[in-house]
Amino acid sequence: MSLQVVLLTAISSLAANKLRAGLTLLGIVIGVAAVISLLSIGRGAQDAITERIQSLGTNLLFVRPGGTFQGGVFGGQGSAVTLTLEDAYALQDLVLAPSVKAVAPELGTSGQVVAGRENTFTQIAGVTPEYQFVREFTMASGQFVTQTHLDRSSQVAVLGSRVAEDLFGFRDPVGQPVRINGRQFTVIGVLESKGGGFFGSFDDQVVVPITTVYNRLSSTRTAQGGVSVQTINVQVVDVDAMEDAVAEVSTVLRFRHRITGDDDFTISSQQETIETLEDTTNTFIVFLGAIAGISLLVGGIGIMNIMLVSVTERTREIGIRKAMGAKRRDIMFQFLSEASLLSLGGGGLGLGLGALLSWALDGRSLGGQSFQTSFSGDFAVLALVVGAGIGLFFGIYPAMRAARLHPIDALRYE
Amino acid sequence: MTTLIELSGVTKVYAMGEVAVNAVAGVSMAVEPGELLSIVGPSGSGKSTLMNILGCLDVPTTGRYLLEGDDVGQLNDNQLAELRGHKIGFIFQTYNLLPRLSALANVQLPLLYGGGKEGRQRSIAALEKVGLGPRVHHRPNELSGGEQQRVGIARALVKNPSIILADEPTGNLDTQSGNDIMDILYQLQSDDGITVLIVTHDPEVAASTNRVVSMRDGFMVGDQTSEEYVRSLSVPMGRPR
Repeated sequence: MSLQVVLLTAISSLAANKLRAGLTLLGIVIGVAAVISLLSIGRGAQDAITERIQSLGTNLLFVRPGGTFQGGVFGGQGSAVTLTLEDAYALQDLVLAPSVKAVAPELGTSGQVVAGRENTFTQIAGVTPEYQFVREFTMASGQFVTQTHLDRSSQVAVLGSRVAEDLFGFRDPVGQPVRINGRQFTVIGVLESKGGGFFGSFDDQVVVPITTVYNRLSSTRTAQGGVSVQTINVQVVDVDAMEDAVAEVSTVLRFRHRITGDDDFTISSQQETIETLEDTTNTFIVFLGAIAGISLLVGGIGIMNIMLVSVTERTREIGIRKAMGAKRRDIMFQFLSEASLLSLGGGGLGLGLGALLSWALDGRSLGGQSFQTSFSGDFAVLALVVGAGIGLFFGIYPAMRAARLHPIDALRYE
Repeated sequence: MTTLIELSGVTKVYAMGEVAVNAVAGVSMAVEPGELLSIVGPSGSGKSTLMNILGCLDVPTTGRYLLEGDDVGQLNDNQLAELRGHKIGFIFQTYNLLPRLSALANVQLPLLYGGGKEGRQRSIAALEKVGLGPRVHHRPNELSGGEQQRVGIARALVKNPSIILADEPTGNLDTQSGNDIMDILYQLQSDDGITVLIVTHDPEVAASTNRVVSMRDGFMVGDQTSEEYVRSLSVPMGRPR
């Protein structure tokens, strides 16, 4: 039998019972549409996360103290308890660390920020002027922390956009006084919003000179008496030079800390963060897909059910066809093609519906979170492959039953 | 010319629950190409089972069945299907047409299974031969019983089979339609030289064939010319004088 004849026969058999075929199809349509739309929601979330992290700069390395962060016992003998400001400046060495473009040490604390009657509890980041460029902040108004502020441990503050809104509403905060942990500060600028629903701390922070944090807000001295820092943000000259930069930074710090054993600091990169998060979100996507897959399974069982009914109803037809010379293979193909047509058709329609759903959901806000969906071509391939697979898997048993019928029994069937 | 059909000691045993039923208890006969013969007998005589075996729908339990020299008992499912498709045309009492298909599509059905090309022309020719030329696109439920059976005949002969097996072809028809059907079958045998084997319990139908094989309780109890058969009918059966 030619493929064309097989398909025409299958179509006419299905058309003989349109409602039944339609309902069976619907099972697959819903299943595939659910899988497709959930996958595109998952993929969208992943894209959003990756995008936001990348907007914070891809050529960044973060140097953080080891040991104390893991709460474990410390290795390197005679090394500093934490990283120091001097460590950070030592990394700005064109000879020892040529891959390092800029260094922005950071010392954070938290505190109560009060302006008039409004107050908020937020993160306070002590930074140097380089911080603005390394972390790619733009100013919404006013200016950033300067070297002069740093030298004088000035009580000036740059507000994150969220903090500015919380404290001042729509008024311009620049020049206004705020109290941070009871001390009087002057607002000198407001940062442009970076967005970031998932890691939104950049809008919800107050930036002050690092020396101010150290001298006036919270003083943490290292064993040697240097200014401790929590993170050294290292901007690398080029994304390709990341590995070189890691080696250089590591060498400089090991030398300075006189380490011969294990490092007392860790170096991580933005890329690593993205990869870790992608791993996590991939798990999340697979999980979503698996849940939707259950409905696909139910749809497949629907196909099997209807095909079994169809085989029973058409026992006599099978007998006639066998008497006319149809082989087992021919009967098998006939029923398999009907099942596959149902599931492939369902896969196709489900793909359309899923694409439509993900398009309709894109950018909508739901429960305070704005949805971002991402539909891609591999979903289409997936839908069609899964569709055909479901048809074959759930169609094979009914088709085998049909093919195995004895011609005489089938002909006598009433 | 080789013998078309050669049966020797053919039996068929069915298991009906615990009991084994000897549907055919030992039949030996030969059919030459171009014959017109009938198999008669009361219900339960084994004539339908014999026809199923002759039609390669079933294989004998013991004994040998040669169809144009092929030992049917040795063939597997696919080879049996092949034989049915190429050498045998079936005509059923209940027509067994597919209700969803037009007369033409029904006739084309056997050609789907290894039939080759120009199927449409051959099918139309077959329908014209049985006098249904103008009705090729009608569905079975739009045709009378006689017309449906003629579609059945067209379907049986479309592949140029070696033998046409007709199981009570006139059983569901009025006398006039029945006679028309029989006329077509005679014609196929006399004009086209196709072997026609009719299973019937109608003595009139049997008498109109050239050779009559009688079955009873699974045994072949008679193999006569139609003249001998007609003569034997006037004698009360089963009570020898």
